[in-house]
Amino acid sequence: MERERLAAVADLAGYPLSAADLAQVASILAGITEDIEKLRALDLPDDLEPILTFRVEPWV
Amino acid sequence: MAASPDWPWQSLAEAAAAVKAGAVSPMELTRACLERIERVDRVVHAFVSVDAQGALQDAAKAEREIKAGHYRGPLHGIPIGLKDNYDTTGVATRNGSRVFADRMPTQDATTWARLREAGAVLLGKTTMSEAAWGVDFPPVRNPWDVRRNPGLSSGGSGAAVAAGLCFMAMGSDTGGSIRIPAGLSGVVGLKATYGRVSRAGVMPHTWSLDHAGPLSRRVEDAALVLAVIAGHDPRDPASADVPVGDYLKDLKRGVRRMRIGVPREHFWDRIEGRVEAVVRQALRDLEGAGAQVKDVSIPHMATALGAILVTEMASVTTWHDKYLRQPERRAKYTPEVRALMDAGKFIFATDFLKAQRLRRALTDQVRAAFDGVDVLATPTLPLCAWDVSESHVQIDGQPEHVLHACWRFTYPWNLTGLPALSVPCGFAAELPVGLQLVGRPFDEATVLRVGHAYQEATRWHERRPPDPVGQADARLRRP
Repeated sequence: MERERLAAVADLAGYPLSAADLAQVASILAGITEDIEKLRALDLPDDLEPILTFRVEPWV
Repeated sequence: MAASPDWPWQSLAEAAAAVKAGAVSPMELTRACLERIERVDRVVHAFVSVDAQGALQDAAKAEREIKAGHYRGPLHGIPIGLKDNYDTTGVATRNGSRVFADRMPTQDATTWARLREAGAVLLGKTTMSEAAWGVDFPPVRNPWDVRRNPGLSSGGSGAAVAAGLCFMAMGSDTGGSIRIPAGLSGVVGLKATYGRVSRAGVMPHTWSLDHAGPLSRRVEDAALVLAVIAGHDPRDPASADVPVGDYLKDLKRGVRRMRIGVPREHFWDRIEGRVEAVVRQALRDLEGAGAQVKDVSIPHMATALGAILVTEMASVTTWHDKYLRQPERRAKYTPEVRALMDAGKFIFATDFLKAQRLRRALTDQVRAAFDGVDVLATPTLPLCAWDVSESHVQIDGQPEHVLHACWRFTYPWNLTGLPALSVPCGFAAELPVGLQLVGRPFDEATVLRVGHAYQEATRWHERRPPDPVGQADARLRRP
């Protein structure tokens, strides 16, 4: 992600960052974009709800 | 009996039996560990702080109690380490970070309280990555090759056990940080079921992924520790009120006719050939011990990395946000960790929720994979310990960031919360390789049983690393 585009998003989100910090953040986000895109592309069943409070129960 | 330099190499179970029988005293064990720390840890950096005086006082107290006939159990008088994110009353708990340099807890972590009540002797705090995320400072060295990394973020705990500095050290595991150092350092690492071991008083990283657990030399040691620390804790909202089993009762029953599932997907992609060969041999060894090994399928494994990335990044940033907003504190994070936390602000809620949907789907598939098998088996890591100066490695001809590579096989069990154990299963180019065993929810007993059977059938856990001081002289001072 280009730093200038990220700067606009950061300002809009209320997280203004210095140019140096933005450069590092942009680099990190660029490194994980492919994995997040795969997550977005997953076709999950419509009735599958998110786990909002993670707890593990015994399998019976 | 004098403190033998060999004592720190014995298993916790052996040391406990010797203490109980009066063959060695807690003071002798503690002195032996402290002497070894004094000699070796200037190279390994496994401990960030050592409280020799406190340890000797606790050892003396244990000795008096045992002599008076008040033996508390296998942890009584046993020297241990705690990762620097476990709260200890009156002892600084810094989470590996300058942000918490002056943090002095007023209450013990539940796990430490239970270990202390069982009579364990605290030697000190083990080195960890900054906020369980950044780099180690000072950099922990892998006892098998001091030029290499022992694994994040409980690397200090893994290195301490591998170097014979203590009998057990506690770690924490959000995406693999107990099992990764176990695999890279040639020791045993256990992450029990999410909710089985209290997280209360362990500084949070990612609420829904964090686990506390032991690193030890033998699987039997991990079972002894789990017996002490497992169980419901009202201080931890995720703690499970599920009866705790007897982890020792069936430990030595072997694996004859047990069914071991090996996932087809994900775990054999992009793995160093030398690591795969060692793990495949370990599976044959389990077959040789009487287990049945069969393939299983978990298709969602291949796409789950994005789910843990967004879950972890958003959660860590949320917990640290109040510190990041304070300019003086913000400046104390290293630039690398501060950037990771800043990046977490740009994780979208839609992606976070999609990740939590995937966790449900993944858990459903894993549950189906368990139909007809007792445990799953995978490699713990796709690579061996890397040089501390390296940020990228080549696996299967492709460059990959070491942090990306090292948790690929461990994080699925944080997303699903299932119990997972790493057991040393051999060496590739003189570096340890780990076998990961995964069980059904709260079935730690079966995972431990298989791991113990593997250690009974092999002798990898009996190997000792070369002397770290000698290595440092030979390797680190080379021009």
